[in-house]
Amino acid sequence: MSAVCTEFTIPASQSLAKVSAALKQKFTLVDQSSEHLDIQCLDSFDWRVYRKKASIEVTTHGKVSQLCWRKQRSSQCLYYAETSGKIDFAWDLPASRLRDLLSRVLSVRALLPQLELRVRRRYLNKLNKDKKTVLRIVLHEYELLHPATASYKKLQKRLEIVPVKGYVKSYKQVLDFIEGELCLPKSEEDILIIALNALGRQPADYSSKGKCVLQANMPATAAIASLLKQMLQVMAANEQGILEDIDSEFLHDYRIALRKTRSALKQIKDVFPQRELEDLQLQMNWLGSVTSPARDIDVYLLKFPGYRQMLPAELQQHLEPLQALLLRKKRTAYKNLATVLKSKRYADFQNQYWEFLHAPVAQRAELVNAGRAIKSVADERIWKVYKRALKEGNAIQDDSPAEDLHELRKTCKKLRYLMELFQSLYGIKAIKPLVKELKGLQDNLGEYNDLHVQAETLKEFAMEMEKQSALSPETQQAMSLLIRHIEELQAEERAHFANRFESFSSKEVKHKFRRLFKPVKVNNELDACAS
Amino acid sequence: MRIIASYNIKGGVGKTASVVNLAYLCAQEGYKTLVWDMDPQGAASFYYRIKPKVKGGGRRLLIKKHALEDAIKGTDFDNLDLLPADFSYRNLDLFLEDNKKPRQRLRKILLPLVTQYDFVFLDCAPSISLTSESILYAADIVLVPTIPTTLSLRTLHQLLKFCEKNDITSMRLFPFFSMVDKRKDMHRMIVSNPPKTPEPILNSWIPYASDVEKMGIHRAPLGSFAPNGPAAKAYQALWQEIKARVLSKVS
Repeated sequence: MSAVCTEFTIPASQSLAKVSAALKQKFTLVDQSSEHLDIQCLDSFDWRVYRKKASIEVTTHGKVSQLCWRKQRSSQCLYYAETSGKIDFAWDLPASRLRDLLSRVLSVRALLPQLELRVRRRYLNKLNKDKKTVLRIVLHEYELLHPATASYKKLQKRLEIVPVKGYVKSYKQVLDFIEGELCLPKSEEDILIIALNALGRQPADYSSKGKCVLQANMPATAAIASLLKQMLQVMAANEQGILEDIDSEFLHDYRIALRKTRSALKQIKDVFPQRELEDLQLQMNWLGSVTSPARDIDVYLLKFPGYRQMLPAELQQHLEPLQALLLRKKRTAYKNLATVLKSKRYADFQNQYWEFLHAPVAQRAELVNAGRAIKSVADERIWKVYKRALKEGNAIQDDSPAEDLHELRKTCKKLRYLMELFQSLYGIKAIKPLVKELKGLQDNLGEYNDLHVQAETLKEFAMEMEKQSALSPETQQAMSLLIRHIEELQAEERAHFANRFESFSSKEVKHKFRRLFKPVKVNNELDACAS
Repeated sequence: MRIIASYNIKGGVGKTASVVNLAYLCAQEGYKTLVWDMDPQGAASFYYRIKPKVKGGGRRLLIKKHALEDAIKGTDFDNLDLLPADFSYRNLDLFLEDNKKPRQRLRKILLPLVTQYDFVFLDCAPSISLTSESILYAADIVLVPTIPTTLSLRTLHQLLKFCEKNDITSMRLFPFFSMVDKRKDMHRMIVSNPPKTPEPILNSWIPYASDVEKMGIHRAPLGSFAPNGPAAKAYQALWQEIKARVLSKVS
């Protein structure tokens, strides 16, 4: 196992042969092997591997693809897998540590090609008197594929020293020589970043949450417009992924950005003129409803492996007709969705909404909240919705109807969107524990509601399959058992509500909410505005 | 992290060769692997070309925090490290006696490595002593290389009795035949009719092969210089059986 590697950049004017000769003159080095590789770098759309300070590299040998997880600033492969099949998702890989790791990191996200490198590598080993390797040196010569011209261009030459655990002296000797005698500078960036920059790109340039930082005293109109612009960007960034049906997260992120937008426009009143909003809100409601069927089917398909596990082994295979039905429905839903995203109505909505967000602020200044500091507007709204959530939650008893929990779920969703939209006003550190607390409650309410909807929808699917003569007695038995199991889970989830809400409404959490969001007295605020 | 010991009261039964080759195969599969050469003779360290020397000796390893981690050396193979032997290990019994709970000490000092390694292989010295007892307690499973002869089976029986007497669950002891010479009637007979043990003797057996002796010349595991020889293949089969049959039984 190796300790931390060190990489140096070899100036374009210096040849690898010259560097290698100088090292060989000074130390006992043995040429190991050399290799010439075409490497494809993969990552998810939202750069989940990069955010873990790693990179996934694929080399192809005939029909076999070798995948390697390496830490940034090192070419050493930490986890490895081989496959002759497709590599879109973590679950496509054969059972291995890499698959386990990627499953955790990527979850349901697909791997996408980000760039292609060509590298020539030479390996030199430093041996001791027992001919034991005490240090490894790797010389890299990188070229980058420029997609526009479909040609490789020289990128960088690097020298990497890979220490062997327990042989620090050798590492120090070589390090001193490279820095002192060869005067090579340490590489400041990983080769992936150098390559992306050479293509005019930045890694991690997408985030579903956005990076908008608000100032507490910004006028509300401008602040909310900038948040909404960002949400619009998130929606636009995900459109292509939805059209290509790359993974379910594109649509999920798109819908969350849309729902945050709808929530902000509906909840923060008197920032924009109502007459300007009316048509936009109608269009957004339409978008919400036309994106729903595809998302619903995505959810069922994501849950499908779990459904199988709920059944005894002998019945699991009989659930396949349900999967076939879901896949058919998905194809139709995504086809319909693509028609919507390519429609004139959608293009018109985008133009109208863009113009709305970019309209001069002055036109809206007369509205009550338009000129107020965004912090006080956000405080007021978050505090109000939080109090409503507490009130609704406190009213729920063990025998309360499902509708009451559903209402609380909707209120909690609104609260969550508000907290996330305005998080930069409160600081991530302060708001994160409260979001976590809220999420705990939301998970319980969401699961309870979802299980209820799932049981009902599965009953509908079963009827549909019966009409299509796709419901054999075994499949009927499997689905009945599944529905019963889901109903039992729903009852269990209901029983957990009291504990979850108790935690959310604890004295300590209340105190934190009060400290962070409770608005200062109205009079003081008016005074502040007046001054 | 799983701790696998290779142990037998008898010497010269293939304990070290088993550890060196099984650990190599384990590391080749991508598992982070550590071998602790606990035998003062330092044969495993020799095979991996690493000096059998530990700073501060065995006593320091047992009492000093991080001493174990600091003494680890990287081998020439990916994912495979070695904690070398030291001549002072001959006094490991004495050092253990200085501790409050000597039988639990080895497991206690190995546990901090849990985040770094998937498997730790212990290459134990022959004999039956406090150190052996401590190893039997520390290991999740104990592999017992056994030559198919009457005397070796007698020793295996002694070991099983010892475990029973000392409340060490013999369900973690997995004997397998080692250094099997198919030219010998007795070897053939015992391998085909193995004695009954609490855990049945593993199906895979290691042949008596010149390749294993050549490990001393190459100073490397079989997989690196004779991967297609009968002995390397036998170790491969043994490792697959250990994973499939043995590791699934221990939590």
